[in-house]
Amino acid sequence: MNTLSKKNFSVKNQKPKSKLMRLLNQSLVNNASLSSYYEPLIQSFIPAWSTRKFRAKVTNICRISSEVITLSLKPSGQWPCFQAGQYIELTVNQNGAFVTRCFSISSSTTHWTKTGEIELTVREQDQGRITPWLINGLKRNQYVQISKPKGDFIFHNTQRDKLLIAGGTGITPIKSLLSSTNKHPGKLDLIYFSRDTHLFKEQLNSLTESLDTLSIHLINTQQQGHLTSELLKDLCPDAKQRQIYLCGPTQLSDSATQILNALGIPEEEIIQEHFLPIRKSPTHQTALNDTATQAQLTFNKAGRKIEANYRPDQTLLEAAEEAKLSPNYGCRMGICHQCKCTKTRGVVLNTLTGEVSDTSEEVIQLCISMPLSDLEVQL
Amino acid sequence: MNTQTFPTQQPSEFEAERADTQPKEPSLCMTSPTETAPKLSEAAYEGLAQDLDALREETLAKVGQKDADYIRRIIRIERWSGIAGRITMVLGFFHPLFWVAGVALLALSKILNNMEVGHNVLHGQYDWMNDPYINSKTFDWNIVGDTDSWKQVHNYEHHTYTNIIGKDRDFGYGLLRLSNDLPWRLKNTWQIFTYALLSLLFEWGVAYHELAGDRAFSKKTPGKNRRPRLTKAGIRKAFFSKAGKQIFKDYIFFPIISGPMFLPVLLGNLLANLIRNLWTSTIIFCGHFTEDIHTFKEEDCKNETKGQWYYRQMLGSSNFEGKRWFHILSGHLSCQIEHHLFPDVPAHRYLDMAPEVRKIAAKYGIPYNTGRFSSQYFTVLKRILKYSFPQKSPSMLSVG
Repeated sequence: MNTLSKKNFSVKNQKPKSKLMRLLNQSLVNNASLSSYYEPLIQSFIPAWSTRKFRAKVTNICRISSEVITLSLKPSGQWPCFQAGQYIELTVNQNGAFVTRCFSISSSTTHWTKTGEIELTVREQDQGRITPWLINGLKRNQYVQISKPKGDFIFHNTQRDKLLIAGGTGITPIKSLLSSTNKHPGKLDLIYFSRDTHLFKEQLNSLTESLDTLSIHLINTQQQGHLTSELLKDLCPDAKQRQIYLCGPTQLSDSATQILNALGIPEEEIIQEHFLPIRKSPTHQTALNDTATQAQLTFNKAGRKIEANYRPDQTLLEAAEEAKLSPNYGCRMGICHQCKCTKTRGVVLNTLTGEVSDTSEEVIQLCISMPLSDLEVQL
Repeated sequence: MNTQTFPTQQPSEFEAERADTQPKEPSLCMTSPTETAPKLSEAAYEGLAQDLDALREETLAKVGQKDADYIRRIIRIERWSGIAGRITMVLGFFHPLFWVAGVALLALSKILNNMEVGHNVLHGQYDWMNDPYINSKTFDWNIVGDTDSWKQVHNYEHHTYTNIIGKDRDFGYGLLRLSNDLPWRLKNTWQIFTYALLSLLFEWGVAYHELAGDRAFSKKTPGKNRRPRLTKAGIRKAFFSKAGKQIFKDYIFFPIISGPMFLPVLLGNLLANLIRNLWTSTIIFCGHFTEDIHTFKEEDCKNETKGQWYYRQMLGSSNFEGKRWFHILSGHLSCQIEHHLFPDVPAHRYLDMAPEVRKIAAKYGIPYNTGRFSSQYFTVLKRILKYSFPQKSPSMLSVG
């Protein structure tokens, strides 16, 4: 499943560079680090080699249902071992541009120790920019880039009773968690919602043989409906005493959080992995109409976080100026690129071309950008 | 729907205030090329904008893997030739021809780095690649000029206000009189020598450009029409920081690690820098100071539409022809017209766009200034000489 990363791009080796080394690199090779200077040189021999990410070879692309594929990746030797339930940022070169998405690892840690491979399970999003491409554009034996494993959706204490709630491809980190666990003295209940066939049905059922504390409840939302407090009481009467692991589409995670909170389960007992908000790519005109809705803007400037409200018809440059952030600017017409900033989260509309941006980290021009969602921008 | 605001429609308060309070410099001669520029009808400007926007979109739709591969290939050539150049220069210890080859390779590396890679990457032409190192925010080039300073004076001031006398300081660089828009001064008499010196030290001219405009080394207020990007201390610091690093590299570090070759390497690096300076200066002068270039007055460009902006870019730039390698070494500034119309389209696409732009120019009766490199350069020299002297009659040197 896709997870929404709140952090910036990961750095492979985050060794802090001494000031002297940085100055030396800047003088000798005009780069803040020597690695960024020699990266393209090494790429002449090793394709997709990167200083900031790990290389991974696509070993298999396997369709497991009409719209879901499993991607097998073999990360390079330096890739650190992951903990079950974690995700990675997958960066692919899509027609010359790097595009990054977060995916939970669906395979187990034992699978990794045995084969040196990990699996990602991806559902094709009709309007998505990347998932249809992953399915049609990615070839076997091609190289992609991945980050180190990230995230805190892991089993901290196997003694505690747990309730796992999954929806759709939100099953992926939970499948990894369950298939990596040999012994779990605490009770484990999985409620798994799906609108059609349940992914990994057989594997999950076979897990109940080795994990005797595990019980699985498969719910078809089209026949049995969504999560309600009655359903929860039925399936897991002692939910209140349990640690909750929740992963699914926004709709499920919102309603589940509400129901669980109503039961008196505190926030810190609910461990969540978030879905990426799916956006349809609107036409230029509808996109412009969309911007009229209130968007919450967060500007990061010199380590400070500044929240700003967005007024309809404003460009991001105007919004930042209104928030007294005095961003750098030039022509105000999209030609000089003086107001370029990194957008770390959210979707923007390019008012010049009508293009709708990607959801991941991207450099944008403030003077010709309007928000289509909540945004986080690095000034 | 276009929600753009054009800079001349809504100047910042600061600019508006300055424009009002500062008296215009009087023009010495009444016949300036400004007035000879053919004006188009409103509908024609509209059509021009539509045609050029369509060409831009059509080209951007093709941009992809090919462009990413291209720029990475040029970066590889640039870096390998730089490494090879520095090593070969030291091998001059065994035979002077090695030294010559080393200087040539290093000059080539610097030219590629500044022109096809640096200039174009800093314009944001490759930002769509999302590459952490090949983008206009983080890229640094092998030249004494600080990138942020250059992006301000070049990307913003020069590309927005192209050839508007008083706003585009690139027109003459505050040193040369290249049109009758500026009053003649005695120092203009020997400006051909000023030009030669500027060409040799061009990287320093580029580095100092913003500092001169903002009067960073004097107590005077910044020049008219200026909205300083940083405090005076700030731009001075950026200038010395970048220039210091370049001096350290070329004149201290590499000579010292070359041991007995200290002096030849130092001189070789100096020579490579001078070759690069001459080359870049010559290319750039051919792009904006050829014979038939038009200049514009500030008041003519108030409330400019996109079509009028395009029109001004076409009249303010000139192309020259040449072989493919020549275009690459010029950073495709051989297609200066296309570059000024589409500054953030990957530059190696300009060659394909040029015939289309030329057709559009013909359609609206706009002059399209191009020619052989040698003849274009000849008219640059003519122009520098022509405006070295005050002109009582416009036909004094029978130019233009």
